[in-house]
Amino acid sequence: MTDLWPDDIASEKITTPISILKEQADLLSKKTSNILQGVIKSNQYKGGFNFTFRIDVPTLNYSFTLFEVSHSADLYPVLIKPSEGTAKELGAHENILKANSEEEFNECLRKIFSAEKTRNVISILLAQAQA
Amino acid sequence: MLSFLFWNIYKKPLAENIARMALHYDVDVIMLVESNINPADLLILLNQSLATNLIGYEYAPQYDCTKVQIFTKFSSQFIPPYDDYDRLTIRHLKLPAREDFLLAITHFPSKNDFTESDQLSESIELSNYIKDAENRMGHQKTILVGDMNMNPFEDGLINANALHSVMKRNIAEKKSRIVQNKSYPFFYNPMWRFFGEDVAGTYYYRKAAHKVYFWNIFDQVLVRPDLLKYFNENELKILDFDGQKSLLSKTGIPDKNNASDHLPIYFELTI
Repeated sequence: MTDLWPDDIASEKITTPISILKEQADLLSKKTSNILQGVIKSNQYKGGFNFTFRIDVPTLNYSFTLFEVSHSADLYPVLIKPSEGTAKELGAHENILKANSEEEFNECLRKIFSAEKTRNVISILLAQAQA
Repeated sequence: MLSFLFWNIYKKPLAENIARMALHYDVDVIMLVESNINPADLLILLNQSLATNLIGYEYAPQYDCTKVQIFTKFSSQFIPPYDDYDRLTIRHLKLPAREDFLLAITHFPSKNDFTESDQLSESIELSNYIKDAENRMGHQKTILVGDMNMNPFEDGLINANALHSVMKRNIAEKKSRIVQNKSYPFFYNPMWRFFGEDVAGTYYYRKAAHKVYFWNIFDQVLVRPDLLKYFNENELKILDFDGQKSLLSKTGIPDKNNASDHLPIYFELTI
């Protein structure tokens, strides 16, 4: 039988938004020695692909939602909804950031993680967790 | 973001339904009225399926309020009672890295026991309790949730010296209104919009009388203007599904045999 499929049909690797989010969540846990734990939660009832990036603080039995992400089956564009304070700081239109590609998604995450509001949240959570 | 579930469970053993809803809708604060559930029994169910490194749900007991049960997916130290009355508990939510606010939860006297005039008088009392707490707290960042046993259009919800809740956000944003030289703060009541929807209320009642509404919106959330920026309008829902089972009967009204005669409400604050 003749193979009609191109040789590189399965060679293109696409990193899904959820994979990127999980990697970043793990990095937060490592950077804070697990005092804060990055957790990605799937929100099934909101339809489509909807995830929450959460910071858990086990010693306080407390979690803080940093932002929500949603996308269709096409993966991109990804819509990112940070807290109102962060959205304003980043100049997001109607409090939503939009990433049309993996590169743009990474850049959006970098901005959210570097935002003053995020840094402040993490400082407060770390301080309270270790109090 | 914080998510809230309020449900009058009609003194039924609905712990499994509540646990399913908590998981399905990812609820942070569960508020129950007409509940005979043993908190320990519900906590076991709430926490057994929670895949998390956190302890999970806790029971947040009250002092004097006998009508409300609260369970939180965070330490109960962050939701202490600020004021407690028999039918009203006012909590001060002071969560790490978030703005603090007051959460008032009530099971208001029903029309079986109180006339419309009684309900109005009691609404004025309720309003004064809340305003008193706000004055001592030094801000008006308050959410009122409850089985009001009144519809949004009734005097107890509308009158300026009572709860003074209005149907439009832009009116509430004016913060207060002056009547006879006295200023009265607004609440925003987003529940109005459910009239006319498929599930047009939280409580269904019919009788062979001339004046019957059939659907009533007794279960409500009211929001002070200072919290409106955090109130996620699109996520306010009257729930008719617990994540596995419908809460409605085959005729499309609250299934009081298998669930409750009231439907729960769900809302979020992006605080």
